[in-house]
Amino acid sequence: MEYVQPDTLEAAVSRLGRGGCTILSGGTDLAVVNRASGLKPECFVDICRISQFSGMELGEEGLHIGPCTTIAELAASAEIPHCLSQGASAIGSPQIRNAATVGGNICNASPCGDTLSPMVALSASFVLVSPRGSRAVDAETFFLGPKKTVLADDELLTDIIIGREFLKGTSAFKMLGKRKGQVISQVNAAVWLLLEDGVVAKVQAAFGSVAPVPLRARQTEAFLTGKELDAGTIHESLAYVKQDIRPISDIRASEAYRYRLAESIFHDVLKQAAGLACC
Amino acid sequence: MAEHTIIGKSVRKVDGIELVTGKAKFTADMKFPGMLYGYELRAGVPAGIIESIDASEALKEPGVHMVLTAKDLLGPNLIGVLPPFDQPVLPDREIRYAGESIALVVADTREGAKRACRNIKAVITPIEPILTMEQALAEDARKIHPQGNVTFSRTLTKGNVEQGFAEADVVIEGSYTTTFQDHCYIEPEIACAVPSGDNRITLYVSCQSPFHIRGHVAANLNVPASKVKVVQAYTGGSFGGKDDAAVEIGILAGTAALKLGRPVTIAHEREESIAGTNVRHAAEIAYKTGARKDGTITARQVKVLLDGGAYASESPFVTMKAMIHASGPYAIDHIEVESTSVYTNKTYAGAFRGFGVPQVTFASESEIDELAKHLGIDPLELRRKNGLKAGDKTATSQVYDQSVGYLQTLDAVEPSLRETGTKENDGRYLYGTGIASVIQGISNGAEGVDVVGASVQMSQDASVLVGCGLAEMGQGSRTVFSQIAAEVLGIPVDWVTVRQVDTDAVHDSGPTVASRSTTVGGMAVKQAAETVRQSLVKMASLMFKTDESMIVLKEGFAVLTVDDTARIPLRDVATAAYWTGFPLMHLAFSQAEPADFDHDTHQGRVYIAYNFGTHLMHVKVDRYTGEVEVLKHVASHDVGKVVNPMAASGQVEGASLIGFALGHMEKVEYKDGIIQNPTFADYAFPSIRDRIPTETIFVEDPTPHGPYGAKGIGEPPVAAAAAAFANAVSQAVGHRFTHIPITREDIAAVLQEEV
Repeated sequence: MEYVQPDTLEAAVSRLGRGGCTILSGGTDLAVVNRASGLKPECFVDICRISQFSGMELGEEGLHIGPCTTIAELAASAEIPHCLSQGASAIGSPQIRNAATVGGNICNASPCGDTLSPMVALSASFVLVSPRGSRAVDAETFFLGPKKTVLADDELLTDIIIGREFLKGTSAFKMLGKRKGQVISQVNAAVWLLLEDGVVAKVQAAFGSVAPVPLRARQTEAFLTGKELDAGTIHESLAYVKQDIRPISDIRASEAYRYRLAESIFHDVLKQAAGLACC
Repeated sequence: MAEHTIIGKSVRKVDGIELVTGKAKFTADMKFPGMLYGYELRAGVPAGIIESIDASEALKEPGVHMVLTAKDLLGPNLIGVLPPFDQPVLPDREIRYAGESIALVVADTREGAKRACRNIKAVITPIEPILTMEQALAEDARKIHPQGNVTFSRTLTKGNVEQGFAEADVVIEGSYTTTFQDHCYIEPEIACAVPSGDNRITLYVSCQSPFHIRGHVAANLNVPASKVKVVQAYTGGSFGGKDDAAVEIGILAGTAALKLGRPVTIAHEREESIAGTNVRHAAEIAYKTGARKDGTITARQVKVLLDGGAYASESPFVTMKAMIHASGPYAIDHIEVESTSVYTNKTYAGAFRGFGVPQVTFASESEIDELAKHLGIDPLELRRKNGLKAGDKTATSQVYDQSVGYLQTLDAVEPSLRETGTKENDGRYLYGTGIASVIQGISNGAEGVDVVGASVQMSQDASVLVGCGLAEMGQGSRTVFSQIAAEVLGIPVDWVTVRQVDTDAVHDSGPTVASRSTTVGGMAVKQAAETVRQSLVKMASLMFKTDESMIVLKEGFAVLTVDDTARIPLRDVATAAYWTGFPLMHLAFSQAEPADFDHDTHQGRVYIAYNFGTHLMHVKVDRYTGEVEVLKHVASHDVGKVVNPMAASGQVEGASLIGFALGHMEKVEYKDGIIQNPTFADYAFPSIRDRIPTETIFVEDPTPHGPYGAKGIGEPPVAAAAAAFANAVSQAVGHRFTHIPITREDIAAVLQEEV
């Protein structure tokens, strides 16, 4: 088994081009999956030595987040939209958050990943690079199913961009699991909100753990847009949440309970984003 | 009462520093030259017949040294707690649960051994598994063991329940169920066997009953017990779980080590710990309770069914314990309890902190609340009216003339009943309060003889080494034994060392179970220390040229009673005693008063003492999500005498969290006989953030059977916390939950209202 730690993007892409690679970025999930499967990939490409992959920077298009930025850094950041730092805070334990990376969380593409619904709600853009070139993909279209993404075998996530528009406004995230800490989401939700004089100018919401991929809540968003955000509106919007999600029953929660949680969590995040007293 | 200088003080854990700094060496930290690693292949089907196991491909892999199957074992291939044993180390033919080990691979690395397991070809013909107690007890059911599917069944009869129900104004009935719970110690099971040149084998193992392991390992290696040395390594929790499993991996590691002449370690992964080794029994319990209008309970009739899984393990004793405790801490004239454990094709159930008491206590205390509602009597008053007092007859008609502090525990929690705090109420939250009481027998009692041997050895510098066969597994026995030795000998606690349990060096003290360490173990340490003290006092009297009655030992000195400044350092006394030939070491035995009861009715003397307790919980329930916040938890227990308030409170907090998790969170989920959630990702073991705000109030009603009057506290809070939680949530939601755990999802399902 080969293990490489390229220092540059070019070196990483070049190794990827030769095939047989599994990308390592923190490894908090990969290590567990690998132990369970007993499989040995041909080559681990550990990308966390590539300096441009760590940290956050404000650019023309918006906020760039390097894929190897740790979950702990995101959790502590006041620069990023609140829902994203809240989502990061919800992941694992302090030890896990120190090792895990945002790129790892995204590319692992678990439907319950807690940075995924914030990325979708914020319409994040993912830059993917391969020996064949570079392309940008919207968070919403990046995920294809549990552990499945549009990434080709030789392709690497190199940049995450939160557009300038979404650095304004307010946002919130909440998840619930079977216990309070170190737990996998039964349902999570993120909402980004732009209020003008108490009226919803624009809203984007996304749910995790309610479908094979994180889902945008388009019907709920449509209902809320242009409305004054009061308790009545929030309550009415919950009927649309049900239409936006399609949960299943599994070991973590039943379908019925996931519907209930989705409504409750959406209620809470919407109020929180709007700065209304709640919970 | 005599003033104590160390007993009753919050002495810090004597092994705390090495544990928190990482200096303590656990079994996994031990490395020996040439050490190999074993990994067990598990059946994967809940019931089946092994047709063949072909390991030839696995043996070809680099680094693989050996594959053991049943035919390679050296002894009878039989383990268990009670003869006749029913559990093979590795089955030679019939598979009885999916997590059962059927082969062991030994390789240079653990990963290599695990990978090689995948290349063993086991041909297994599946059998239709028996997965419920109903299936197991059906008349035409296949027999999981030759004697049938009933593991153990007994009935307790006190008075005549028919007469009791005839005297009642109201009779209520209820059915309750509980689920399997895993121990979830942070350190999974591990054993390391090291063969030595003198034809002996040393087993370093995380365990709680070293001598039980030694006996089984020796028998199954076909060597005399004296050829096996068991060293209990630092143990990262056990809670009843590291007995059967430690025996199993101890034998497997020992067999491989003997055959290969090299050290072999077997360390379980979490999945193996949950699916492969014992859990708490799931239960189905039916109650019928009769009472007069004034609240006097006239009769209780109980039927307890315990799902014991594939093997007996501790099922017989758990069955007995559930039976004896099912009627609760109440003085009731007419009681009948039928208690039965049943074999099924699931992971075997065995010992787990509480030992059958949590299951029946949840059911019993739920029913007491229902009775209170029915009669229109306050739940606490109903308990007070029926509560056991000194001089009353217990369920087994045993009478204690002291140390029955039950009513004081009710008094202790009562002021908190009305302290409900501010209730936010925007219609979202529901609030409820629940109380529940527990009675829990201390010592082995009806489960067999209860002897502890403890040695106290003083060096010439007056430092002390204590040896006892009971295991420190986090409960604090080393600290308590240190305190007792220090108190008796008049020395600071840090002059005392309680040695690691090593079966070569300490006396067989039976298993570390039944909340007996402080009570029975502490008594032995005290007696041994008192004998050493006699030598010191005798020596000091010679040195002072005065009568022995004029001498006290304190602060590391022999001191004259009449002149506090007249002091001789104890090291001078100890040195002089040595040179004079006064013994400075003593091995003492403490034997609990043996049980003596009728084996048909179970009437008679069963336990040397009971711990009594009452817990109160205030809860806040989110009606949208079913989330429960425990706003207040008050736990009061009669422990006879508190030896160490900090350590005892720690025991109450830890046991209460296990009880809370049993009541609210944890369940082993099966599908077709396979456990679906064998990892902490999906098994809802509480995290530190789920801790509940336990406040402990101790009641001290001393027992003559424990040191300084002390009774055990390790187990009782589990049952009371689970039951108090169930009562609090049921009150908040306005719905009687008859099953634990009562999960968020269960609560939300009852509260169907829209958000």
